[in-house]
Amino acid sequence: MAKDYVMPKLAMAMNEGTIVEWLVEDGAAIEQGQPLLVVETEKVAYELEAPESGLIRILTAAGDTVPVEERIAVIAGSADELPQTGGESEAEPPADNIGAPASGAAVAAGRPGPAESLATAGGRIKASPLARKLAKQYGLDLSEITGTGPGGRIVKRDVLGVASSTAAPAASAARATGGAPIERVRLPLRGTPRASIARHMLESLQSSAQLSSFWESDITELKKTRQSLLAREKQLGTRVSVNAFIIRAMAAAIAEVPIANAALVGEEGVIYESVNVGIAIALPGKTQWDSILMVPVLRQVEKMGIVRIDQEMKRLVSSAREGTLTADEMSGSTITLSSTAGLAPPGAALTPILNMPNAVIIGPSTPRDKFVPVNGEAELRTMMPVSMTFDHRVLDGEPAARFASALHRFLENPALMLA
Amino acid sequence: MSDRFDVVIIGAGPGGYVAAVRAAQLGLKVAVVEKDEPGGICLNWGCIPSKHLIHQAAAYHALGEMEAVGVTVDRSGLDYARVQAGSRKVVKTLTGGVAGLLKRNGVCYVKGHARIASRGRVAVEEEGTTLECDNIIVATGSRPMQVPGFEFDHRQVISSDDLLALTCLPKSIVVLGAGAIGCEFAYVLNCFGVEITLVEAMSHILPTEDFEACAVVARSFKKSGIGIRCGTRATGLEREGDMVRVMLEAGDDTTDCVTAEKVLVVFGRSPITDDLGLEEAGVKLDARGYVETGPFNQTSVAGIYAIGDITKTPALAHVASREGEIAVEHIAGHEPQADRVDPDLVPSAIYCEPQLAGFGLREDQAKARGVEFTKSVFNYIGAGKTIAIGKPEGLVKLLCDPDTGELLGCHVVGHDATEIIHELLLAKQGELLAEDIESVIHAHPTISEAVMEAARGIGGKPIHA
Ligand SMILES: Cc1cc2nc3c(=O)[nH]c(=O)nc-3n(C[C@H](O)[C@H](O)[C@H](O)COP(=O)(O)OP(=O)(O)OC[C@H]3O[C@@H](n4cnc5c(N)ncnc54)[C@H](O)[C@@H]3O)c2cc1C
Repeated sequence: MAKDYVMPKLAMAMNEGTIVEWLVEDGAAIEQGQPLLVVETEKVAYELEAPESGLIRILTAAGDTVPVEERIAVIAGSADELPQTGGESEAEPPADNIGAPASGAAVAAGRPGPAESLATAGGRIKASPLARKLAKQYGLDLSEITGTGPGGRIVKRDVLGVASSTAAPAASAARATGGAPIERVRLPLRGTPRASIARHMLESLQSSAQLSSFWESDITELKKTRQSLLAREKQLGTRVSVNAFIIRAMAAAIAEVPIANAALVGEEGVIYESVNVGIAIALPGKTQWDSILMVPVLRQVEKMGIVRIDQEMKRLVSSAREGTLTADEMSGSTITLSSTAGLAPPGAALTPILNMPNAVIIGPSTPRDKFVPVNGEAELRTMMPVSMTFDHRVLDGEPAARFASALHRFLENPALMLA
Repeated sequence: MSDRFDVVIIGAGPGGYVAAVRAAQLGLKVAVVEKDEPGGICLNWGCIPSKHLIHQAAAYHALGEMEAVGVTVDRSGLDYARVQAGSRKVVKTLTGGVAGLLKRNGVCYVKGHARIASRGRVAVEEEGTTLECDNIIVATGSRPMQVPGFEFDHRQVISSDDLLALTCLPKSIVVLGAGAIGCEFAYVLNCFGVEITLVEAMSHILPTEDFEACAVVARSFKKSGIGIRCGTRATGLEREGDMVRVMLEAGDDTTDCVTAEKVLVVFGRSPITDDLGLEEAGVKLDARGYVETGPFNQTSVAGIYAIGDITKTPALAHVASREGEIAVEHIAGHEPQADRVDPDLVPSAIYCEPQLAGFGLREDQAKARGVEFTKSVFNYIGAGKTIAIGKPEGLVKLLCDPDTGELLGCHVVGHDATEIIHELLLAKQGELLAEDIESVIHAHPTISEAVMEAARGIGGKPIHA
């Protein structure tokens, strides 16, 4: 008989987990104890083993974040029992739910295994009246939903969790008479990547003392230097990007003002030796309405030249797009780069939100050409707006300003950063 | 180290003592430090003595009802000192009960003022000892809020603590602040014949409750002779011999004053988070001194938890107790049902007559937030029982989601409202809909029939309206 494989609860405070990577192919035969997938919670990545042998149907793709106890795969004894790919297996008999013991990872002591989440007792689906009504409104089949309420009952949050993975039609469009605005779509947060983005952003603003500053750096020289590297694209094996220069400049400025590469950990400020740059990238969301923010980490930038930086960065970005980033590649940043160049209007200044626990985030934006005085003459130069936010708990305005000035100097004089 | 505790709790109020018992039940080695009597404000100077007084006041007042059947009762012999003594006796019985409960569960009870020496170390002053532990739960509660210009002299300008200790009643009292505590005392004192003026800066009494429900209480108060001054700020005090004059300023800037023997200042309560070593230990407080807490009532410092009146959740005994359970279960590695108290599922309860109880969304909040709702109000008078027992004032008000019938907010005002609310609360938590409540056969005659009728009003029409 086919059995549901659900997102296990791996830590006390875990509400959802991100599937970092499946270690087996969809449809593959698996052995009990074989590493199955990597799941990441807010902090830790866990490698999980197959609870039993059989054939596996993967239902949730890598990169997705799903609530605890939600079905992510089905393990079946034979190919016949395996649900069709993609198709919602309406005719499927209710699958048994098997727990996913974590291998090596510490499961909270004293906690029983994943609760029996089968909401069907004797063929009757256990669901709260509100959950039933909501499921009807969203057009969802209760037998497809895993209950997390008392006794495995399907409750409101379970229905909304499933509804969120398929943006539901605005249920209330019809009632928007009078003054209420007419809705287009509702995007429930629960169980989606947006829920954790929302939480991180709010936590960042609520738990640190953020201060932003803005300036323009003249990148005319930087562009020239870049042109000379582009001319050797074949030889270098990459089209070196402006971002690679910015990252290199950040590392150079950190060498001068190390406290910009720091974090408040517990009750201690920690200044890091390695410069690990988190690179904020926007990815298309699950629905046309939404986007996903990911911050893969480029490690030990201080040891890299511009070409390496560019290659590594591009590798990370494409892994992020393909959803194949490993847990290591998504954690351990010491400073962040969040560029809106090319997206925001020229000259845009932003107040980037710190990527906790980093003490500094740099937010360059779209450059514009401007007449500026050079040796008393008006010259057309390319000016790039740069925004910076720092955590005033970790560093004061003085070092922050020194760091900003150093970064500015390197951006304006690319020869210095190559030195 | 044999005498190391899994958890040390500071304060034995409804937060602390419930946490201690639960911790012991879960097999943790637990100590609770209390500088005063077990039971905290709730048992000693809050919920319990005030409810005893309300009961006495209502019984005394009800004697008058007998006149309708020809029985004349002589009510002149009221000896308030004995009312007071009775109230202290009730308190003693209950605090003794808590002490016994702690003992039976093997909780180590330490008397003294506790201070956090560092993470994992709690110093007890009087004992001169330091308790070593893995976790600390701070449950030190609150005290009457001191407001400049209205400082307590505990004689003429008094706090709720002072009021609960009075052995004889004044002729007149001005009550500043018409929150739950102010309204309950106004009711009690008025029943015992004290002339009451109730002053509230907001536009209605019980400003954190639904205005339609509050209007029922206000109407009843006025009928029984309580002077109510809403939308009015007290700006200062002047003592004149045995009397105190309170300066008042109404919203339209007109000023006047009221004079009484005593002024009861119940503007609110302040968390007790000073003199505890909290900030030195790195625990984050907000500007008003409340402890900032996250999931499972953890503070900003690992291993230190905060529960009850010192946190920003509603200052209610049942909130303190549940938060204590959540913290302890987290410490014990168990999984509580929820990682925090959901304020939408906390019933408020005010015990004057008519009583008021409610939870969730209020109508003014719904309007302010643009939440759409269907509303149903059923008046107590439509339920035969209320007329039979002479308690026709009251109503059940439900606010539901127009699409699903989900209960968004429920407000009951009237006789026994604080008991009746739980049917609705259970429905809310179990995600039952108005239509489910409507379909339950309610015993006749009961006040709960008003709940069924109100639920009917959501999707259709009540029978008795
Ligand atoms: C007049 C009145 C009526 C009320 N009526 C109700 C009601 O009907 N229903 C309701 O739900 N709530 C009511 N409340 C509110 C309720 O009393 C509080 O919400 C509740 O007591 C809070 O519990 P707690 O455990 O947080 O703190 P508390 O009950 O205040 O207990 C804290 C304990 O900690 C001790 N303590 C403080 N500092 C230290 C220290 N450093 N070392 C050792 N011990 C210390 C104190 O002595 C106290 O015993 C009322 C309050 C008042 C004032």
